[in-house]
Amino acid sequence: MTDALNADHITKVFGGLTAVDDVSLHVGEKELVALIGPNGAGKTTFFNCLTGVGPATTGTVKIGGQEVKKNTKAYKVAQMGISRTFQNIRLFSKLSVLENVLIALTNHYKENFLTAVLRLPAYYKTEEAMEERAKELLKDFDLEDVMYFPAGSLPYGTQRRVEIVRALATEPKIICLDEPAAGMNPEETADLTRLIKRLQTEYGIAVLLIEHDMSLVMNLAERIYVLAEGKLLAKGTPSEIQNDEAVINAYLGGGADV
Amino acid sequence: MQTFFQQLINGLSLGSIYALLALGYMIVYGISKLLNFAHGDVYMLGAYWGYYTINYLHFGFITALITAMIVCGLAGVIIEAVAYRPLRNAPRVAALITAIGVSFFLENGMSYLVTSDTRNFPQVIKQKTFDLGGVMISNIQLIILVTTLILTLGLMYIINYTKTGRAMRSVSTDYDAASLMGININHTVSITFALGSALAGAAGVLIGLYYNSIDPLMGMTPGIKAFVAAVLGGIGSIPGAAVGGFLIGLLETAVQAMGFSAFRDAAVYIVLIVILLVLPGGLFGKKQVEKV
Repeated sequence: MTDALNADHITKVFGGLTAVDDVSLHVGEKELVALIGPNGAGKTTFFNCLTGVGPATTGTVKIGGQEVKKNTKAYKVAQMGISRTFQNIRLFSKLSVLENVLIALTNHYKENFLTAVLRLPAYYKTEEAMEERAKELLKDFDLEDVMYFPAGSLPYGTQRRVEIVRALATEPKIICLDEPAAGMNPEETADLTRLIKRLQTEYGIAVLLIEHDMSLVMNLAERIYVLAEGKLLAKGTPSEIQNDEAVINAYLGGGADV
Repeated sequence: MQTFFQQLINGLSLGSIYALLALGYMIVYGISKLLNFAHGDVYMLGAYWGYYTINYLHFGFITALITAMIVCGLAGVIIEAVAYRPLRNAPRVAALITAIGVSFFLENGMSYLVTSDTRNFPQVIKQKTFDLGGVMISNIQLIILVTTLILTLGLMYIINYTKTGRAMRSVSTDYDAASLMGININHTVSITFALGSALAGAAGVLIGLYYNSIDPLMGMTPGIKAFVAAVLGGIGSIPGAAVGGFLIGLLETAVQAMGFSAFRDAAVYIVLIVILLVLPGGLFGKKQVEKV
């Protein structure tokens, strides 16, 4: 069994600032792992290293056992099987919900140039298959009523859901969710918890979750990594983390001479 | 009344050319946020391609038009890859100045290669004029209008209903998010430049046919006017760019018909100033609401 994600000794330096310092993390197949830490701990920077947006200064990333070579473009990294959502939602806001999902599906429905240019029947077949698949996914997540609306016009919680479905549509091995519950009310958070669980149970996808909402993290995560000031502070099961003194200090600011 | 319709037809013919140019300007701007000042010069290349292929290879109009579109599309792709791609993450001003540089390069390069003489565009189609109750319309004007219409609709179809178009729209909204969804950004930007430049190439052949004279600097003013048309229509809107082009063409013809030929360029620039003051979003543009 190969891990969905292996990140070894990731370091990211911006000028003189070491934002992520020698962090190693792995996510097993279909595993649900959370990455927590105070603001500015380097969580999002770490995500950017994984997805190729801001490649790591040193360290290696493997997706599904396959190493991401240096200078691989972000779209190639995405095609290797990693997908993500953003802290501040980044849907294609003027495009419809359906189109957002179709774009994510593009890679799995390749057709050759000739059939596309000449509009051969094969072209229409892939187009149809794509649309069917997109609608299936949207239906699965109760988004069929809004699929022709511009994504930017939807309520915040719904946009979050669309973003997760879009990430899912790339058929990744692992999805990275960057603070999916930010700005949500408790009811929306409960819905979101169920949704994330479904990614794992129904779709068999591993999830790496950045989140501040501890109820969500403790409910969902099988293992937790804690990041503080760019360094890995602790890792373990939720109950281990809840009782870890270093973690409590970092979060409650108890680090000063007590 | 007759004069009015006559000028309307003349204005629409000229406007078609501006519309084609404005569309290319707009889609390139939409995806790369770059004002491609070399756009007008690609149109000049199209005109010269038409000139040489019709004169020396005896191409017909359709063949000349289609090959001009292909050649100019390639030229656009090469310009983007050589001049703009290395600057994609540089400040916008750097790319803007490079665009001016590319424009000078094409203008002076062509002046060097083919001399800066004004040439007569070969009359590949015999001009016929139809009399519609006193209003004269030539077959060339009809060809220009129809070609523009077909190309505009084709472009709208590609952008709104194809996978490539979807990718283009996603890249123009958010580079990073699109690449994280597995969209190849470079590829998409290249296709956009190819489409925009192909339209410019078509416009070049059409203007040669219409005005009958071409020279290496012919792209400068129409390029700027096409930009005005895109602003007038609202940057980011395809129908807006087309309508803007037609309006600029009509305005120019109207000013000329009223006997102020010398002021026709000035009139266009006044429109730009007024639009920027009164309606910065353009006719079809979205209002920019600043969220605080």
